[in-house]
Formats: sequence, structure tokens, C-alpha cells
Amino acid sequence: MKILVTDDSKMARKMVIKTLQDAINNINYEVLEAQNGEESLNLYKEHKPNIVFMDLTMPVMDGFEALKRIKEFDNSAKVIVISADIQKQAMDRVRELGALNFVKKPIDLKKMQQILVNLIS
Amino acid sequence: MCNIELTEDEKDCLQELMNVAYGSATAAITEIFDAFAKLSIPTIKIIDALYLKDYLSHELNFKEEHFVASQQINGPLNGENMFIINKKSAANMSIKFGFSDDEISNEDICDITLEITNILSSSTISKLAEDIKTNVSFSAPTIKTISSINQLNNLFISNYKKVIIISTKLEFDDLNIHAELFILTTDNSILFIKEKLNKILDEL
Repeated sequence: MKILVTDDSKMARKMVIKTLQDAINNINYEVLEAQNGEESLNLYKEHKPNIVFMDLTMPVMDGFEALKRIKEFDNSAKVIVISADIQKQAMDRVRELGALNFVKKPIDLKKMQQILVNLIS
Repeated sequence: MCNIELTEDEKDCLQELMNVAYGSATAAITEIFDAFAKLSIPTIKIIDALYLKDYLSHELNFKEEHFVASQQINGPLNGENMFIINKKSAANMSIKFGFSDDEISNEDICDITLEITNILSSSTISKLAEDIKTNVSFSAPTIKTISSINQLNNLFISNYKKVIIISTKLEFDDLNIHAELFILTTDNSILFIKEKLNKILDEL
């Protein structure tokens, strides 16, 4: 399984990856990291990851645009937005753009487990 | 003087914590306005306090009148929140609260700006304090109007050698409201924050 973690903050990426490690048992997975939406889009096209974790506020290309372009490229892409921007309008917009879920930063173990269970089952 | 600098990892960690904290605060504000706000990535800088005015002067356009609302932060995280908004944006913010163009007085604008400062600043810092496991208290915010950087009499300029500046923009595109929140902390607080950030980084 390939998982793409997109965030301009190294710390935020590490936090997601650590929560992933704690949540995943007995499954082989590979983590790819992107620092902005553009990198994420390019990595998605190259690797077709099974799950994408996407921040919203990023330089170069923000998460809204990256989500839109990933979904245009692959309508079945599974993108989970993890953001500090928890405004209702932001949540509505990412859902309209096709995100599978919207999670408030920082993601906790329970939420991560729920997401993975839903995706894998 | 101890080392009052942040490493790249410490800066990244603080930026991320501020991003989360500011996100919570902005959500609270947008509920009040019922409008979508754009979040900027927080900028973190440590500068000599002597250069604070130069820094602000460069960052903000002081050709027009600005409202400056300040609120003291007390506790291990010690410092000041400073919310700066130009008069036009502050007036637009007041209209959004139901005032009509011709009835807004400076006093009304000040009241609304103070309220917004209180919500935005205290929510942001409370969340940051929670994340770094400390407690803070706030003094009541005060406000003044300035039309030149020289009118800004900030206590940091005389009391501290270094200030950490965490700045974020609050932009409501549809409402033409643009404002900046600066969080200025004391020398000792910078060392306290460093210690807390390293604890978080060690646990990753």
C-alpha cells in the first residue's frame, strides 16, 4: 500500500506518519512525502498512491487546488484532508471537490484507525 | 545572553502549532461573520526589539490610519498580542456586524475591533498554550489609532532585547477585510517555547 502525506511542515508530516505507524498493523506500506500541492500532484501521477493525506494551507499550490487536480486526474483518488482551517466553508468546499474525509489537525490515533478501517474494508 | 534563536526544526514545529491554533481561532471568527476567511501560513521571526518598528513599518502600509489592539499575555508564555487592521477594513468589519456606513463612529469600530482581537488572540494563544502544556492569562485588550509607525509605543521596544514575531494574515476576500495578528514574546518566553518545542520534536 502506498500512502502520500502532503504538508509544507516537516513536523506535520512526521506527526501523520507517526500516527500511521501506530495505527497500521500487519500491513506493508510505503510512505511518500510532498511539501506542497504541486509536489503532491506530481507524486500522485507517478505513483498512484492508495491514500493521500492533504493539508490545505501550503505555498506553491494549496490543498484545494491539488485536491481538484488529483480528482481530475483520477476520479477514484482517496484524498483525506487534514487541516487547521476548520471553517465550515472550507469543509464544504473540500467535500465538493471530492475529498473522502476532512480531519481537524492534528489527526489522532482513533481517527486514523477509523479512516484506515473504512478504506481497507 | 542565552541562545535566543530557533533552529529550522523548532521554527517548523512552532509554525505548525501556530497554524493549528490560528485555524481554531479563525473558525470562531468566521462563524461570527458567516464568511470564508483565507488563512496565511504563519511567519516566524526573531528580531532585535530595536528593529520592531522598522519591521512593522516594512510589513504594513502606514500611509493610512490603522487600529492597533494589544493584549498582554501572562504566564510562562509571556508577551503581547497585537492585532493591526487598517481603518477601511475595520469599517467593513463593523458593517458586517450590522452597522450602516453613515452611522459608524470610531468608537463603534474600536469596540468591534477589540472584540475581534479578544476572540482571535485569546483563542490562538489558548490553543498554543494547550498544545505546549502550559497556562496563560490575558489582560483586557486596549486599542489606539495610529497613522505613523512613530506613534506605536510598544513596551517591547524598551523592555526586551529580542522579540519573536509570529505573524498571520486574516483575509476575508469578499468583505475586503485584511488584518494581521502579531504575537510578540519576551526573551524568557522564547527559551521556554524552545524547550517545549524540543520536547514535542523528541517525541516524534
